[in-house]
Amino acid sequence: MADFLQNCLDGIATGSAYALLALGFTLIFGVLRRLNLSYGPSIMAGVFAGTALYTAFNAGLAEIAIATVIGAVVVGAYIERLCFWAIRKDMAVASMVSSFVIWMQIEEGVTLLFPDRTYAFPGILADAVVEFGPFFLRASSLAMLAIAALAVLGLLGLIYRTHFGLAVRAVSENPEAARVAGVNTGLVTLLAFACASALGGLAGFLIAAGDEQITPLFGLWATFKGLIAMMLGGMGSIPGAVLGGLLLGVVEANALWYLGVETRDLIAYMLLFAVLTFRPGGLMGQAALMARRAAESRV
Amino acid sequence: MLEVRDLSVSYGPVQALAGISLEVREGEIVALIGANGAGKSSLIHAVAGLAPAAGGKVSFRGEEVLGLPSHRIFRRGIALCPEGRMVLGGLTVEENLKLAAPGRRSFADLYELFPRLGARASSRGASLSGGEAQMLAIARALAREPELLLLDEPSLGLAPNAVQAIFALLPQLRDRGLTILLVEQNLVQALRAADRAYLLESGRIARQGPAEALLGDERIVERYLGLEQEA
Repeated sequence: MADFLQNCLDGIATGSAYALLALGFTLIFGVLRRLNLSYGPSIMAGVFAGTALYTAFNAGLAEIAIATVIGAVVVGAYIERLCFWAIRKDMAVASMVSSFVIWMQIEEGVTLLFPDRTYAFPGILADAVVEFGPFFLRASSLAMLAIAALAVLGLLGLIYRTHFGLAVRAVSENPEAARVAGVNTGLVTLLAFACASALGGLAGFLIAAGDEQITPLFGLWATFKGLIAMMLGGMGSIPGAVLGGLLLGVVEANALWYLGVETRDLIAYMLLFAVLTFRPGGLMGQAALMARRAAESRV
Repeated sequence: MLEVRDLSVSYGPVQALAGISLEVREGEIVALIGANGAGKSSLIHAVAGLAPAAGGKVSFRGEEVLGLPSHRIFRRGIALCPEGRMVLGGLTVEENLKLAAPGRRSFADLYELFPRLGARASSRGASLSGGEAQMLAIARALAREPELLLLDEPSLGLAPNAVQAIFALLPQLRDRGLTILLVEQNLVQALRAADRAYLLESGRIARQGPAEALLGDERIVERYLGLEQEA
């Protein structure tokens, strides 16, 4: 039991970073109703911007974190203009496919600039451990959990307490109605994309700092983790993204401990399969899915 | 106040408006009437920046607005209350109003005009009845204190008492200094409420004049009431 609880604690810390990735996906999907497959690679590009600062100038953690976030936002804005803004809203598949093409472009570009397999990334409080009675947590994991929790609270405040958040919710629900109400939907979409990229950049920084290394394949990894966490929680649901991320972290940590590293991802996919089979809308997106189906079936 | 010159709107190969010209003067209620597909909604959507125009000019208070994005037209003082209401069901009544008027703290004047909305300020838009949703759509259009209100089919799908309430409101809005361009299929109601009217047929203006004169024209009333009865 103690092992299980310790795994849960570790999983919650890792899951908090997954939750940030899922929130970014959710924000983009919620506003655009289109999937951005380049989200993970844009985060990877941001992390490499931080890596460049670290290797070239031996910059401090704060500067690297800022460079990572800014890098992810800039690449995210590039993707938004190219794959979403420039492509008509009713051509969701064209947007998704073009975002996949940009994924390849970003990965190739980063690989050309950083040809080695892995690069060192500075850790947060690398060797320190914090004890909670019989349990313990790496200080870096605790920092990851605290920063992720603050970011989630900040996002919730932004979405539910500000006019920008009101506009984001309006555009998510009905862009045409938002335009009628005088909302600049193009700007709101771009800013929501920037927020999602900033969250992703922060998640990328936290994960890379936890692992103390980075590879160009991080984009693929971040896309998988973020997508699975979002779909577990329910597409378009902000609380669902947080729950999905934490659940994925906890399940992975226990799978790793009890079944070994080779089954960890398999268990995560099986969990996703089970959730989508029995609750197709995800854990917290079921009500929205049912409402959407009811609206579609109405004559 | 609003001057439309040779406005054309096309959706692919289909021409919805073929060079329409009209004028709305300050303080007027002007009705656009005509059968389904005559181009009434296309015209006010083009004025509101929600439909791309193929040609022509639209000036508001002497400044060209055609081609501006809808949010900039809204800020210049032209507000649209759309057909089908387009109330945001996931937001509360007050949030729907705040969305249209950022920075505005009180909506007391709108709640005075629509007491039912005041009583349901924290209810979600999805829970409103058809009449309440129409009131909210009008209140949302008024929230930023526009000078010109484009009112698209306000009676559509409403119970008779709700339709009466909406049309009773129009003179009150005019008395507050608002100019109204009304699109309405309910010919008699529209002509009774309006000062002047334009009759649209197949994207062109077929008749225009004082509303009373059009209402007194038996050929128009018979033809369009006939169409409505057939429908």
